[in-house]
Amino acid sequence: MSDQLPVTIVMVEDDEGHARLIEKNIRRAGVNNRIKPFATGGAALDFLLGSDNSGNHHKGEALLILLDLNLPDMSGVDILQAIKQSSGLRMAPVVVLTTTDDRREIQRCYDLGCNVYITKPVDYEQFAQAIRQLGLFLTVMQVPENGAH
Amino acid sequence: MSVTLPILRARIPIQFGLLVAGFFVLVTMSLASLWLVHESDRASEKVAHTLEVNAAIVTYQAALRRAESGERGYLLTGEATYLNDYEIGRRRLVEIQAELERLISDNPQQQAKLATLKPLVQRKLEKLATTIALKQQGKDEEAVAITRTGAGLDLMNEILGGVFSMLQDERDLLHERQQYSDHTNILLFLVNFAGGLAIAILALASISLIRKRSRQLASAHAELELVNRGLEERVAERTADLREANDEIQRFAFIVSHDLRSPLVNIMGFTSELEALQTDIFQQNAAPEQREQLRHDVNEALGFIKSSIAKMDRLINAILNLSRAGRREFNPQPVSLGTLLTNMSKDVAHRLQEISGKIDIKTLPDIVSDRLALEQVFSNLLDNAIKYRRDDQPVQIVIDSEERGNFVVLRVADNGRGIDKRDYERIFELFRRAGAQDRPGEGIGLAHVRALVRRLGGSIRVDSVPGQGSTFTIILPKRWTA
Repeated sequence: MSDQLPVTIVMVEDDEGHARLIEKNIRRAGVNNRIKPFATGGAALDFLLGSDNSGNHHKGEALLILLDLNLPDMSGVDILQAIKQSSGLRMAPVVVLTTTDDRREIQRCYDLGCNVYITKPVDYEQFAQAIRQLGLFLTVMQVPENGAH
Repeated sequence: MSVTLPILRARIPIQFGLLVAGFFVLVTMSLASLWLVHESDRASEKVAHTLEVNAAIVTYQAALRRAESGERGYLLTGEATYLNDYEIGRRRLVEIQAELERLISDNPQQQAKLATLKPLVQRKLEKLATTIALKQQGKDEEAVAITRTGAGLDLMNEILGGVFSMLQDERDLLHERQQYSDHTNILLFLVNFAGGLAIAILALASISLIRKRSRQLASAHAELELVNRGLEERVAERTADLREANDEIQRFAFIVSHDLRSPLVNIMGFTSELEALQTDIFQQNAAPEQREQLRHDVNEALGFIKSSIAKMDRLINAILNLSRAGRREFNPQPVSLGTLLTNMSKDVAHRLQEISGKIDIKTLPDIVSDRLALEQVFSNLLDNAIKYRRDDQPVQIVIDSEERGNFVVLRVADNGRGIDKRDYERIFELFRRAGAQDRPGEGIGLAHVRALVRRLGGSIRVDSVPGQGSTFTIILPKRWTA
C-alpha cells in the first residue's frame, strides 16, 4: 500500500503509555507506516508548521496527524486550529484521539476541521477496536499530497 | 459600606420660622397701614372742615361788608340798586350765620366767640336798617348825621376784630391739623418702608436657605448616585466572580475527570496486553530470542502500569491537598507584609546566591489577613520566578505595592522567560503548565495560589512579555475578616 503513498503518521501524545498502546495497536492492525511521536504541543507545532508557521516545507509529503487534546503545554484544539489555518497543512487529515468525551469539545473539533474524533475508552477492548478501525481507515483513505488541491 | 446623608430635617423649623415671621410682619404692617390711612383720612377731613369754617367766616364778613356798602351807596345816591345790594348782603349774612353755627358746633371756643359777635352784628344790622328807613322817609340829614357819629365805624371795627380772632383760631387749627396729617403720612411711609425692608430681608434669608438646602440636596443626590453606581459595580463584580468560580468548578471537574482517566487507560491497556501475553509466557519451549522479547514486553507493561498508578496517586494527592487547603480554618491576624517577605527571601537566599539572583522588596503595608496562606502564595510565586528564569540572565525579582481604597495591590515582577498571552488563564488551572515543559512540576502551584487568594477575598492575574518577564498582580483587602 505504501509504494506510491508513503504516509507518515505524526502522533502528538504526551502520555508515553498511551503512545505505546496506540503504536502497538496500529501495528497489530497491519499498518507499517512511519510513526513520528511528539510528547508536547510546542515540539509538534515546530515540526509541523516550521519556522514560518506555514507548514509549506511539508509540500509533497503525505502526513496524517494523530492528536491528543490534553497536552501539558497547550491545548490540542489550538494545534488543530493552527494546522487547519496553515497554507501547507490544511488538507492533511487530523484524527483527534483523546480521553475527553465532552460533546461540546467534540463538536468544536469537527467545526475546526478535524476528520475523525476518537475517544480513548478505559475499556481496553474498545480502545484496541478503535485503533484497529483507525488502521482500517488508514488503509482505505486517500491521504492527499500536501499542496495539491 | 454605610452612607451618611446630611440631616435636612433640622432646616425645616428655621424655614418655617422665617415664613411665620414674614407673615407676622405682613399682618402688622397691614394693620398699621390701615390704621394710619384711616388717621390720615380723618386728618384730611378735619383740614377740609377747617377750610370750610374759614371760608364761612370770610363769607360772613364779606356779606356784612356788602350790606354796609349797599347802605352807604343808597345813602349817597338813593338808588334802589344799592338797596338791593344791601338786601342781598343782609339775607346772605343770616344764611351764612346759621351755616357757621352748624359748622362750629364741635368747637366751644369758636361758639363763644360767635356768641359775642352775634349781638354786635345784630346792632350793626339794626343801625343800617335805621339809616335806610330814615333815607326812605326823606330824612337824609338825620341818616347822614347818624353815620357821622362814627359809632357805626367803631362797631364795624369791633366786629372785624372778632372775625379776625375767629379766623386766627381756624388758622391755628388748620396748621395743627395739617401737621398731624403730615405726621401720619410720614409714619405711613415709614411703616411701609420698614415692612417692605423686613419682608425683603426675610425673603433674602429664605432664598439663601433654600439655595443652601438645594445645594445640599444636590450633593446628597450625587453621593447617593455614586453609592448606587458603586453598588451596581459591586453586584456586577460579584456576579462576574461567581460566574468565574462556577466556570472554574466546571473546568476543574473536566480536567480531573480527564486527567484521572488517562492513567486508567494505561493500566487497563497494559493489563490487557499482559493478559494477551500469558499464553506465550507459559509456553515452555519458546526460543531464547522469543523469551527475550516476552520479558521486554512484560516489563514494559508492568512499568507503565506502575507509573500510571504512581501518577494517579500524585494527582489524587494534589487534589486532596487542594481540598484540604480549602478546608483549613483561616485566621485574620495583623501581618507585616514587609517582614513576611523579607523572611521568605532569606529562605531562598541560598538558592539565589548560587545563580547570582536578587530580590528587591519595596515598602510594603501592614494588613490583616491569614499569615500561612500569604506565605504559601508568595512562596509559590517566588519559586516560580526562580524556576522559570532565563538561563542567560541573573534572576531579578521586584516586589512592590500600592494602596487602593480598602485594598492593597501587590506586584511580584520577575525577569524570567515570560508567559504567552494565550496561557494567562491556563496557568492558574489545575495540572496545566505553560511554555516548554523543561522544568519539573505538576501544574498545581498557581491553581493553589489562586484558590488561596480567592479565599482571602482577593484576586490574582498575570501580565507578561514573553522572553522578558512576568508580573503577578495580587489584590487583597487591607482588613480581611473570615
